[in-house]
Amino acid sequence: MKWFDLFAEHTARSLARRISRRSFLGTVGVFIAGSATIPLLPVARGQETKPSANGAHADPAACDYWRHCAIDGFLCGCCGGSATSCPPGTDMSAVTWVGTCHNPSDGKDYVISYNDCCGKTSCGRCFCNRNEGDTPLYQPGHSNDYDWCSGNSKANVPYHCSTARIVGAAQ
Amino acid sequence: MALPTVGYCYEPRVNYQIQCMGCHLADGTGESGRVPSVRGTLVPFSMISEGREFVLRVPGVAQSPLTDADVAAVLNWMVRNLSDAPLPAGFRDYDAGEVHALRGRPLAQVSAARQKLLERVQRSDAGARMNPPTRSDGD
Repeated sequence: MKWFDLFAEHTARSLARRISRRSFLGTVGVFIAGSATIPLLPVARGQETKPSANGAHADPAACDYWRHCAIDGFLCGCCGGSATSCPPGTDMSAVTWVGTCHNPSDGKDYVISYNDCCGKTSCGRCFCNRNEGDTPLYQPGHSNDYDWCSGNSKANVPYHCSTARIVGAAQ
Repeated sequence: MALPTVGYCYEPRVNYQIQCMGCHLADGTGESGRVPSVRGTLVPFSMISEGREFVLRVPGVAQSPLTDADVAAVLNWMVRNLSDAPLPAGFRDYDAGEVHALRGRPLAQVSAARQKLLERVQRSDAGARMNPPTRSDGD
């Protein structure tokens, strides 16, 4: 094994003559700094969870949510329900106001049904009145100012809040 | 952009959803006492001239923002997809010219006209075979 000892000694002395301790620290420093920049590469960023690029357009609780483009009422999501379901103690009206909204996430238009939830007094929270495409009452076919709850099987039930349900793609 | 007006080219099924479904519902049943069902009446009505005239003069057709051709396409889609009875062999499709000739004269007394037509259809042999509903669903 003597030859191995000589080889190790020769290599170590050779390195000590040629390479300074500062050089070693510098190399290690570059390696550490380089490792820290790897997550910034496009490959790594592509694997991250995509943050919401649409802001309020993608938040069902916001008035600016894309499905709410033609709504007129209190958002059921603020009233114990959701954008597609009624709060406990209320019933969804069958007869309703229908419009179309543009979804910025996929660039397509969708038919949206704004079924009202009926049976309790007005929710009073998150009033949203965007009304895109709403027509005056003298054009009744597309006026959303009707109280759709009055058409429910339970007569004269009060309006509580509004949902925004996707019917399908408008094409 | 919320509603289609002239210039939007939707297929008849989507035009039904946007222009008609809010009241007549997705399957055409409507709401008893408030919105009439089309399921048992549209096809029998479409088999006689008085019935076709009624269909083209009801408020939803007469006041629709759709073009004459689109109204005809929606009605032709409805008779094939929202009817309890199968389409009779002698059915003639609606076309833009027929729609144009009649939709300009909206009905004033829709419920009364509908009731009269129901009785007329029930009396006729064709109506008896198609077994239309016996009650009026209002207007």
